[in-house]
Amino acid sequence: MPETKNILLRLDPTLAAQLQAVADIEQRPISDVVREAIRELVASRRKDKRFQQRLNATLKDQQRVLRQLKGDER
Amino acid sequence: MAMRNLDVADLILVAAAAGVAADPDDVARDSDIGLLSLIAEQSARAGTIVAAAAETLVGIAAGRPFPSANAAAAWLATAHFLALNRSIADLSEPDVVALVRETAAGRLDERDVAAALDRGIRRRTGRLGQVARFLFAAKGCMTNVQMLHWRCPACGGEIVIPGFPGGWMNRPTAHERTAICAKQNHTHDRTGISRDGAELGDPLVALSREVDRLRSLLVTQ
Repeated sequence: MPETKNILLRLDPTLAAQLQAVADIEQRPISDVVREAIRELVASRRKDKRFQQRLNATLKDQQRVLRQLKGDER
Repeated sequence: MAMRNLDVADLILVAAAAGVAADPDDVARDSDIGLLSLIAEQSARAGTIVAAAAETLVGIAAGRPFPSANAAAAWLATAHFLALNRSIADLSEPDVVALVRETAAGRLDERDVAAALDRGIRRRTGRLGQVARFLFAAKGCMTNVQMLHWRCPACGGEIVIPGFPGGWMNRPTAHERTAICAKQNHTHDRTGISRDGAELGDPLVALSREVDRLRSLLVTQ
């Protein structure tokens, strides 16, 4: 099983209550529901062509700077 | 215009592109989602594009929500956020690298980063703006006036007109070129009829004149 970590998530009370309700109904831990929501959000954003095109263009523009910065945490 | 903010999913995709991990799902699993959510929230609350960009850069570079490549992810997220909001940070490569490294080391806060970005930020012209500029803006200032060479539509002779190079609206009309040619080359009058009475130029113009002549004959008869 992959390593997991504890996270602190700030949510407004309404959203937190809704999250708790979903977790209770589905009898799953809240963290599972949060992870699934994030996975779904990432998957849907990957289909956003404008976002991806702009990201690829920025990546190309900034390639040299990014190469220098990537070495910082090795 | 409303600001386009980066949410947690955006930040995860940007981090994957910056090289944190090949698969965004792996980035999501190994990152501090709580911190990413806080960064997204603070950036969205910022009043200006520059302040929001600074929140993003400082949040990622100094907060390190990703398991690796936080400096690269921080700058890519900042540049991408600016691009989505039609802006560009026009800073040199060494300046960007120094800015991100100083921020990651905790020596610069949001206000310092905003000031640094503000010095280099400029608005990117949209497609419509580029077209409008191409069509209507004169290229350069008065010192860039050049002698532009054109052909006369009536006789084909060369004419020279001072003007700004480029720009669709700078192109003289056929009538203007014919009239200017009459003044410069003296081979025809300003309507394109040669000095010796012969018809010159576009056969359609000649045909139109012939139709006018025949029509006037019909009217008189």
